[in-house]
Amino acid sequence: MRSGSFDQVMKYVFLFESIHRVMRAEKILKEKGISVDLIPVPREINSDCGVAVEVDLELGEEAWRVLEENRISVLECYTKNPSGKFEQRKPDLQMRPKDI
Amino acid sequence: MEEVGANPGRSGHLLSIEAARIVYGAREALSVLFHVKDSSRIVFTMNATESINLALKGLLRPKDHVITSSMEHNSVMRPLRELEKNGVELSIIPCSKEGMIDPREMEKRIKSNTKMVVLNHASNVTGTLLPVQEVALITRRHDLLLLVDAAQTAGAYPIDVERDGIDLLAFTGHKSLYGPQGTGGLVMGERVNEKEMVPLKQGGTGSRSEFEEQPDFLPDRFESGTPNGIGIAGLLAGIQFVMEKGVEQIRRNESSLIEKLMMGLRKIPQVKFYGPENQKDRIATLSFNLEHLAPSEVALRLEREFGILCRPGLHCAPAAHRTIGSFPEGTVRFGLSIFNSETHVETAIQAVSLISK
Repeated sequence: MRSGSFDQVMKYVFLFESIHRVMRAEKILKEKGISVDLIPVPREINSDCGVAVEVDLELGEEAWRVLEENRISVLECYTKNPSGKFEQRKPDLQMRPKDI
Repeated sequence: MEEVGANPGRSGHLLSIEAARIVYGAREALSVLFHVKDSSRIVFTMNATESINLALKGLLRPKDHVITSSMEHNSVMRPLRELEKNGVELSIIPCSKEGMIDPREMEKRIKSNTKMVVLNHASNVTGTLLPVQEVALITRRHDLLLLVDAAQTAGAYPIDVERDGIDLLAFTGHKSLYGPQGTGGLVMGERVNEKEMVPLKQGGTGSRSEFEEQPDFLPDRFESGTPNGIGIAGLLAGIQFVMEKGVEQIRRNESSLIEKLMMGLRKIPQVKFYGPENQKDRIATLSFNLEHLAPSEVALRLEREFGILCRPGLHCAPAAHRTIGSFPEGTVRFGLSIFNSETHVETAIQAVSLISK
C-alpha cells in the first residue's frame, strides 16, 4: 500500500503540529517558489488524520531552511523513496529559532 | 458551499484542504485588520458572547478579582455574575450619564488579587467609545489582563491590539465586519498563557488524533468540533470588503452621518439624546427617546409608517440603561453602517419629527 503522490521520484514529507501550520508552510513555501503538494499524513509514519506537506527531494533542504527561517516548526520530516519507503530525517538542532 | 463544503483540516483530500485554506485566509485577514503578529493566536467562535465567555471562564479562578464598567452588555455581565457565584470577586465601575469611564476610578479598585479588566470598546446602547488605550496603560503597569469587547467596533473603528495594549479582543463577524451570523473570534495576545486557559469545550481538532487529551497549542486548543466553515468563508468576504474600503474611511463616513443625524434630531424639541455629544467620542450607534412616547411605540411607527428599522428597549444591557437613566423603559436606537446614505439619515430625521408631533 502506498500513500501520497504517485510520482516515481524521491520526496521530502514534512509533518506539522496543526493544520494552521500546514497552511502557513504551504503559503510561505509557495511564496519562495518551492512547489508543494498537500497529502494525507501517510499511515506508515504517523497515526494522525491530518495533512502533510510534500516537496521534491532536491528542494527538501531548502524548504526546511525556509520553514525554520519563518519559525514554522516541523514536527517530523521524512524522505520517501519511489517504492513508498519512509526514512526519518533529523534537523540540525543547533541554532534553531524559537518556535511560534 | 457547493464548491468546498468539506471539513477543514480533517482530511488530505482537495476539498478539505481548500476549506482549510479559507479558514486560514480568514485568520490571516483578521491578523492584518487587528495587527496581530501571529494569526494562530486568533480563535474562531460563534460570536462575541462565546469569545467573552471563553476569555472569562478560561482565565478567571475563584478568589480572583475582576473589574468591569457599568456600561457592559449582558454578554459580559452574565458570565461575570455566574463567575461571582463561584467565588470570583467582581467590581463594577460606575460610568457617567454619557457612558464614560474614569480610568483613575478603575485604578483605585485594583487589589492584590485583581487579574483582569473587562471593558466594551464602544457601548451598544449609547455608542460611547471607552478610553481603551488609557486603561491599557494602567493594566500593563499593574500586570493585569485587559479583555476588550469589540462587538461594536471591529471593522468600524481602527483597532491595533499591540498599540492599544489589548490582551484579549472579542469580536463578532455579523456587525461591522459584514460577515454572517454565527461567526466571531477571540484574539489572544502574547501576555495570555494559552496553556493555563481552560477551553469551553474539548473534542476533535484534526490534530494529534492519536491522543485522547486536548492539544495545548493554538488555535486547536480552543477550536474543537467542525468549525463554521461556510460562515468563516462569508466572514472572509466581509473582512476583505472592509479592508478594501479601509477602516479609517468607514469611520469617517459613519462619523459624518451620525453627526448629520444628531444635528437633525437636535432640532426636534421632544428628542432626548443619550451618550456623548461629540462624534469623536462615539461610534455610529445612537440612543434617543421622544417625550411621552414609549421606545417600542416609536420603533413600531418608524417601521410601519416609514420602513425604518431600529431596535427599541434595553438592548441586552440593563446596567448601561441604569447608568444613563433610561431603565427600565429603554431607548430607541439607530445604528448606521457603510450602507447608509445621507438620504437615509434625512428620511430618519423627518420620520422622527413627524412622529414627535
